[in-house]
Amino acid sequence: MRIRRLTFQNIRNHTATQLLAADGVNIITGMNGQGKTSILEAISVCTLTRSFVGTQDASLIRRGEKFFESSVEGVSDYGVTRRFDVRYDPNIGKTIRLDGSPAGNAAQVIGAAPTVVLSPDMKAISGGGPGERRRFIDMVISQAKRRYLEDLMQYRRILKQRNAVLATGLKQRRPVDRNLIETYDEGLIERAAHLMMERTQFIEEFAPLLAQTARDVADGADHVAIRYQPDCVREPRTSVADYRDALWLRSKQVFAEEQRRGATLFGAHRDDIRMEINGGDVRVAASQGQHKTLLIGLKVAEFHYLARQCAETPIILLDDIFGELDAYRAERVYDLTRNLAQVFLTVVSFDMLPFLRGRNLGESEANIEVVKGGIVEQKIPTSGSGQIDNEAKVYL
Amino acid sequence: MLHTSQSLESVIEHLSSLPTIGRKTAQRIALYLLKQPREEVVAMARALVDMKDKTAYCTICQNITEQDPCAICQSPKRDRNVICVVGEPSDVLAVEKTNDYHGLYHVLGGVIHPLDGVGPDDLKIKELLARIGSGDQEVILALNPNVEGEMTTLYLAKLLKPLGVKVTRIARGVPLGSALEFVDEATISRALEGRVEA
Repeated sequence: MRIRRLTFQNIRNHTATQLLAADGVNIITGMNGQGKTSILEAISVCTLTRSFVGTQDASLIRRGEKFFESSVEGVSDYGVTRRFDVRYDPNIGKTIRLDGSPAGNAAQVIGAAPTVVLSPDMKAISGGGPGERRRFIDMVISQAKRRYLEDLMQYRRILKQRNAVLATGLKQRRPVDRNLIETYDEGLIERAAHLMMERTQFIEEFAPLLAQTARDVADGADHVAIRYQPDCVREPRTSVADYRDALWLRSKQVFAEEQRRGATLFGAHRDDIRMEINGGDVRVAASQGQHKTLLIGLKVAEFHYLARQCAETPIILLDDIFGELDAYRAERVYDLTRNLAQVFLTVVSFDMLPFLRGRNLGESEANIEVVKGGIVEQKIPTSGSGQIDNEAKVYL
Repeated sequence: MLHTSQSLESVIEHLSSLPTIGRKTAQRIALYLLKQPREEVVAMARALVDMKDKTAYCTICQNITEQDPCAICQSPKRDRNVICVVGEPSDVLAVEKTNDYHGLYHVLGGVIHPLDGVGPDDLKIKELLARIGSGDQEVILALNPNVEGEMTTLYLAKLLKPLGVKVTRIARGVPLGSALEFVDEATISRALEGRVEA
């Protein structure tokens, strides 16, 4: 997938912004707080139906406005034109259209233009709690398999309802309706078993990809492994039925404790994904620098996984990562991603991309300069032009 | 006050409190009513009050009715051994429109929704169980195909099956008049699960 045109209104400090994208690397420059990341968010709103920053839809709306909307026009690997439109109005909700037709829910759009986002906050995938890693794999698998996303959305809904039953029982100090809880168990376990089996298969395919990309990024210095640690069982199982049995068994064991605590104590929301570097748990064994390279390894592996599963080249969004990397790694990441796909990256100035000094912007590279929620200059170089100086504001 | 008439303003206020009616639409409706002959407006006002005064819930099926039991529950043409369980009175209308169903109904008055504070005791479930007697009965569960509808269906099946009654649920699948290629995967996989012999 290559984005040709991005148009959006009322997102963060942008009023109405349009940009034509280059097929290769789109370098979005501008000082802090000008609206660089918002451009990446506008893309994410279309292809992932929400911002990757993880904020509520309402907080994306420009202050004083009543709605936001964003449209992406692109071309698939097969040369087919695709169009994504998302509009959000708190009073009406979110309207999603794919190729001009209304999409019933997010699941029908996610995956059509697979998107890999890399932002420094995502170091939490390797450094943070299990929830961060679940969120990571959920986002990847959801883009590759629609049934997974459907199951996941239903799972979360049933979990909330089940928790509400337990919490009400606790508050009113009376035993919960056994039939009702078992009803929710049935719904919850059916989805959980499918989610866990999909996660098992995902890690099986993802682990070798990650081992390889982590080696590439760190020049073979680090050995990285990833393992799935499902709730209720010691080792991953090989069938949905096995997971179902294990979940039923656990649901019976923890029920008394669940009533005391007023919360569900088994299921797919308690899975962990263990990551190891050179044999040790990354959370304690990895240095800050290793977390950074590991994140890049994870994201490149995600790229390869999605490209294979979706049969469509993902779009890559790099949010402000070049300030975090040393010059050597920055150049590796730049060249690695440039050769893979269409890239949108944000950076304060070209100073952060010292390796571009003296290079010409290629035919497929563009610079987009953002000031106060608007694009002041967009340059898609034709061949032979666009030499980058040592100064930051080359095009102003 | 935006209008020069307190009474007009009051009508607009009332109308805009209705579901799906915003202030602008309320204003348009109020001004339209104002132009109508007096009898027309009186008839409408009377119809509203009559509706409120005369309707009640059928003691058998819990549907809205003016006579108790309701016309469907009293009809000798209806198959008394089949009960179709629905969430709301509007669902009865939807099934009735098919002209294909000749059994009785039971209106739950909602679905189980603990997040909104709706538990089994808040629905007409006891009344449903009381209708199950001995003999060859069938209960058709026809609730909306979302998570809450599905959980309510499972719950009712759990309560009804031990009573020795036949419990079925309506099929889920591809809408008529649509094309397979445009139907989402979840619906297709449900339709495959619920396939029938050709």
